[in-house]
Amino acid sequence: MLEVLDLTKKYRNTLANDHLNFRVEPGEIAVLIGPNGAGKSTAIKCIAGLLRFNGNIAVCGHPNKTLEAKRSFGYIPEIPAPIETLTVYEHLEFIARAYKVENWKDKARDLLERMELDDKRKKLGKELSKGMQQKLSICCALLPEPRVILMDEPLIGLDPHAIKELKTILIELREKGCAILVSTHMLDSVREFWDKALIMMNGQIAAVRTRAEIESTGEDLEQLFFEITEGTQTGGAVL
Amino acid sequence: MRAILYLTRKEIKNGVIDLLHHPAKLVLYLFLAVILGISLIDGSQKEVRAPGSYLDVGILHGVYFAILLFITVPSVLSGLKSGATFFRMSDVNFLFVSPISPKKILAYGLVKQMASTLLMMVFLLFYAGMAINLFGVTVWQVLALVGGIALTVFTVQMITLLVYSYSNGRPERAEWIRTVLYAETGMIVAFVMSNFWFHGANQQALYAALASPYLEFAPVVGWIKGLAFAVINADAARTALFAAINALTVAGSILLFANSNADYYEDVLQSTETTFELKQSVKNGKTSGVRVKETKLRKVTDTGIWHGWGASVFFFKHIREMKRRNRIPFLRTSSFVLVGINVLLALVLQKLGSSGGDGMPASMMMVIALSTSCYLQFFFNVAGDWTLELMKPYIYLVPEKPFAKLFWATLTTLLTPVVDGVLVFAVLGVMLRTGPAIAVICMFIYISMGCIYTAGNVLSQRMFGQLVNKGLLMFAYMIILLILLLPAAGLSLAVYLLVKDLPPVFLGIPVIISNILVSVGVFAACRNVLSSAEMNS
Repeated sequence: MLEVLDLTKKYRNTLANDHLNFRVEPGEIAVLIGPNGAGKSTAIKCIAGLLRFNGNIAVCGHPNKTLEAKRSFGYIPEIPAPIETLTVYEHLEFIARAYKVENWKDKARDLLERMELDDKRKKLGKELSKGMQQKLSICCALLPEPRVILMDEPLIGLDPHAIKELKTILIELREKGCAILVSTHMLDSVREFWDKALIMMNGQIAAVRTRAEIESTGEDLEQLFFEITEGTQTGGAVL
Repeated sequence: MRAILYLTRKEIKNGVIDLLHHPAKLVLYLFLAVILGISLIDGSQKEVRAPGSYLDVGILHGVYFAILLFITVPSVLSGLKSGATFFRMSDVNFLFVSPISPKKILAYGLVKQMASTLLMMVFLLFYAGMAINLFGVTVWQVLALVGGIALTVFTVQMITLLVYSYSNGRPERAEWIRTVLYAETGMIVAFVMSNFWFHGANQQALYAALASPYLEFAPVVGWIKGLAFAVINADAARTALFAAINALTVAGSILLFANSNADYYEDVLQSTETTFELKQSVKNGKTSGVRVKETKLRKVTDTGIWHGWGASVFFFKHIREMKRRNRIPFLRTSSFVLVGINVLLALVLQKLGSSGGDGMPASMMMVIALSTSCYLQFFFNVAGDWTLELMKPYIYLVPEKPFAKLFWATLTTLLTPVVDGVLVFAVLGVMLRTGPAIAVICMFIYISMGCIYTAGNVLSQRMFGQLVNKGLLMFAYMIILLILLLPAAGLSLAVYLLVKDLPPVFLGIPVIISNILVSVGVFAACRNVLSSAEMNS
């Protein structure tokens, strides 16, 4: 379970995240949606422990920078950055050893097959295309079987097969009880599987909706998104 | 053309406004300007000493020629692979697709490049005081030398573009250009060495060889050196001759490039994108601005890291990567280059010493070799495994204690100087017959300097993080290194003053102890540096 309380991040004079509060429960896929510059990536990076911030973030009950929390989450960055001189297989071995994953070989094989990277095992990181780098990044994040998954624009650069496979994997992980947070600025890409939508604007969460709420009230999420992001409603207020 | 003029005007204006909005940056630039001004004024007021009290001008000729070659050869070689660029991504996105003549855009790029080259060369003027003191040259003569380097940087960039455009997709042409380049460099070295050898193999012969006017007829680097020294010597005829040759070279390169390949956009696109990606990653805090050198990797035959569990896997990952770059881990090409340079240096010092009578003591030669090696190690250390590891997110994400990650991720960077030091000083110890004590002390000083460089790097990351301005980061790193080395200097001086009749080589022991203690202290103080990617907060 992921819990974010009063998350505030300031870069010099820019307030990138302004008192964010939200929870992602086990077995739930939450999507952080918002236009470019809304503060989605910054929030994900703060949760992943890459940036310093004010507030409290707990991953499975542990402060996000503790070793227990780091063991519990997997992070897929927006821009994949493979290690140029390691092969695909060695990336997974590296992660398995770093995260102390026992019996990792079968899990690695399964992930590589699902992402159609099994024939690229001996390819070096620098020889991979951008899409393959992203697939490898996903495999690395999922190998330690995290209970919380953080994805920063994960579908960008993937081919249709990988998009379909990633969506299937996300749904499987949800069924296994993982809490998943996905940031994106493309509503269409997450339409099929989101459970909770957090709409961000100007560093704040401007609205929170669950799928059940939307279905019961008949509200249109896309319309709500554009109302908030195009300024027809008061940005900042939680609706 | 109006659009380009408008763009230039706005860029200058906004640059000034931006500087005014960042007072810290402005203060730093003003501080640097004042220091530079003081050193130049001080240099211009220096009394002229007796001619014999300065170093031979042949050394200045040699060092200057080496700098020009060092700028030229790698740049042209890289041009054979990927071209060069002085355009930015915004130029590609806005200007290249606009209905403005490509030649005008080229002119705009060239003018901007000239301006930035001149700005970069201002920093070279910090060496003015040293040149004035050592060689007795005037401030104006130093300006001529710096101007020559600026001209080289500019000309080489132009030639690199031309070389890429001429050889792109044609390996036989690339091979031909490479052969010409190596042949010219080889001929220059052969000329100097043969002149030195056949004219007595002494100091005077070496200086005379380095200052030979014949060298000034070597294409491009020779012509530029010829121009700089003709200005220094107030030789109007040679100044006019070399100025004309250089002007023809630059104008010819521009004309050839513009006429032979009007569609040059493709030629500059790849390197512009590479430069852009590098700058973006620096801005995102992913690299320290070190361009990862394209090293040729060995063919992948086996795959696996095999060892390590938790934080220690960073060390074994580095070993795996080393094996992929070189057959034996820790033995890099630079290790052999270091040994080669030191052996050559020792041979020259032996030869020079023996021509003067008693010869230079072996321990003195070791000290010179040690200083040279430590200086070179600074550059080898800049792109160590540790620095490269900071570019990836794993070092921050792996659930291990920050200090354990810091230790294991810096271990190969700390061990590499151990291998280099043992290799270099064992070879020199045998060659110069210094005895084991001196060789071992030199080894340990070299190793302890490796610790200080790495500790200084860790500390500069902790204090300044990944500053976007590479120049400022390097400046800060140097200042930190100087401060970290102060205890070693102080301790060594204290031992020298307190202990009578101590053989000079033993003054190195306090240096070793101090460097290692300071490094351990820095590591302990920065033990949590890897708890976040924002290391300086």
